Amino acid sequence: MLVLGIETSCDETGIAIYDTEKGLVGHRLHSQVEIHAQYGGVVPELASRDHIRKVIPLIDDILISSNLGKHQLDAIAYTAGPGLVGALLVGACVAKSLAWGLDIPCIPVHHMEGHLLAPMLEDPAPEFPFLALLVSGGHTLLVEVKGLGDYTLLGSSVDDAVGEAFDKTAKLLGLGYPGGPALAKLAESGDEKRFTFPRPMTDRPGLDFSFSGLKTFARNTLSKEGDDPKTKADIARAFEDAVVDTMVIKCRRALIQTGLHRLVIAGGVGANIALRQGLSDLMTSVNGKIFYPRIEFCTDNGAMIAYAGAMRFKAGGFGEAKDVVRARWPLEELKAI
Amino acid sequence: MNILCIDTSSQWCSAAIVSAHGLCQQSKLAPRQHAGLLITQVEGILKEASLKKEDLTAVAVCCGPGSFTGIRVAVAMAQGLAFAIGCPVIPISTLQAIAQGAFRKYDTQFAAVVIDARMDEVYWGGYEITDSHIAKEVMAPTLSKPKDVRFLSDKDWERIGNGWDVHSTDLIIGAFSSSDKIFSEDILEAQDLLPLARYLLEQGKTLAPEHLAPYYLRDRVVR
Repeated sequence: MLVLGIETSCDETGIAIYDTEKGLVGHRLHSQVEIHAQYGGVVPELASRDHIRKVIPLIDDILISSNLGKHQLDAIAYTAGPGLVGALLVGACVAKSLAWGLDIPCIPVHHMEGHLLAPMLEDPAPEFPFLALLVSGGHTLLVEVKGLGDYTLLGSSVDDAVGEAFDKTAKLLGLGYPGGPALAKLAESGDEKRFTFPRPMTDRPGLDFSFSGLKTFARNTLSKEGDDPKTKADIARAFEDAVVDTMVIKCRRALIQTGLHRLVIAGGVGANIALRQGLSDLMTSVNGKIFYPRIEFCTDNGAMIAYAGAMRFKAGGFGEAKDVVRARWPLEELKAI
Repeated sequence: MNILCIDTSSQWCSAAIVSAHGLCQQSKLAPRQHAGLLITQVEGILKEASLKKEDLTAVAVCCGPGSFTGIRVAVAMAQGLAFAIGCPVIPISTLQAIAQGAFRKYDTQFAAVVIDARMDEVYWGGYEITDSHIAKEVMAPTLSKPKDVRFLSDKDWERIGNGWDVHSTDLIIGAFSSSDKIFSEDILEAQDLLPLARYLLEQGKTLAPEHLAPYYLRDRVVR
């Protein structure tokens, strides 16, 4: 069965085709990062305007280059939320009308379920159950994944998402937008011993996160120590170390609490090398296994939506969503199928 | 010639087609529900018209100006439908379709169409009904402050659109002494796209679905 996936929840237009027999057929990604860079953040109206220019041409392109006709598609999956409503609507409307025109089912997919399942596109893929750490510009979630749709939220950020903290701290350091990856690069040359940032919320039980304090700590350190390049690099290093350490501590706790031995990292911050290394070391130390999607599937993409849609299609676990799109949509509202 | 017409440029959601059975249309005041409703309407009118989706010649759609989200819903829907069916799309100006609607409803010959664009601005344009009963553009769609709206003084305009109501104190009405008719309620129905769509189809003014784009008129969206 061939499932077309459409992702337009934020600032990337992602289109992909997944074959339940043969795996991923192909994927296309158009990033809007340059459009939004000059504004220092995603401008929702500009995001919607760009999506509508790109969705159909990307679908056309992927069909042609995969040597497939549109009538060979068996279902269309689209990101129904959470995300920017205007942006989501573009993908949703194309998906619904295309599916209706082709007489095939249209499957609404939860964006975070897409991220959770993204490592399934890799070889080896993790088996259920596993612990998932979803880290991006909009989310920081620790989730116990028992099966498709069977998700228990163990912890989340009480303030800034981790990617947001990366971007805001990067901005303080004058690294532009989105500065997360630039901060990570700068941290490589930083002195790990010069500053020690706090590990927020690790001094008490629980699996929730807080990152806005780290950003403030970075600002205070910057104003006290000066903003020469060396100090900036050292701050970047101390910030990243604190984030990674905090993640490792919380993941260790979650593994103990759930008794799980497999850890999945997904979301844009999952591309961070220091985080991958820290969590890899953790899993080695507990004789467990770590899984992550390839770098390009850490950030938003169509492949994860096509995959999640295909799994739901196969399991028969999709119905008409109450709303076509949902800006807010708690992951736990999904039901096991 | 089976042209499916759709409009979600205002708070109304509307779809229409003409078949051997006559006009089949569904219209509903449905703010923020267009995306969920439109396909149901299309399905309903095709059934009523005893037509299959494969029978469609083209999809005509109001591309704007209007609510940004509204026109994107219509454009995205038209793109998906036309791409799936393999037919072209016909982009229609919202203001022109409103003028066509005013002709249908009130026999308006010269329509001074002004609709609210929020942020203290209006979209406006002037249209004249031709001998073949098509609303022809006389003054191109413009975005401006209400006080800067200027219709040509040599036409017997009737005032059409909600802008005349919302901005009644700011719009200069001096040029309208020849007619005091104002129709400020929502006039546009999907059937009003049809005469324009037929005309444009004859002229070959159709597009491949991937080339269809919303007509925003307002390009400054970041302060």
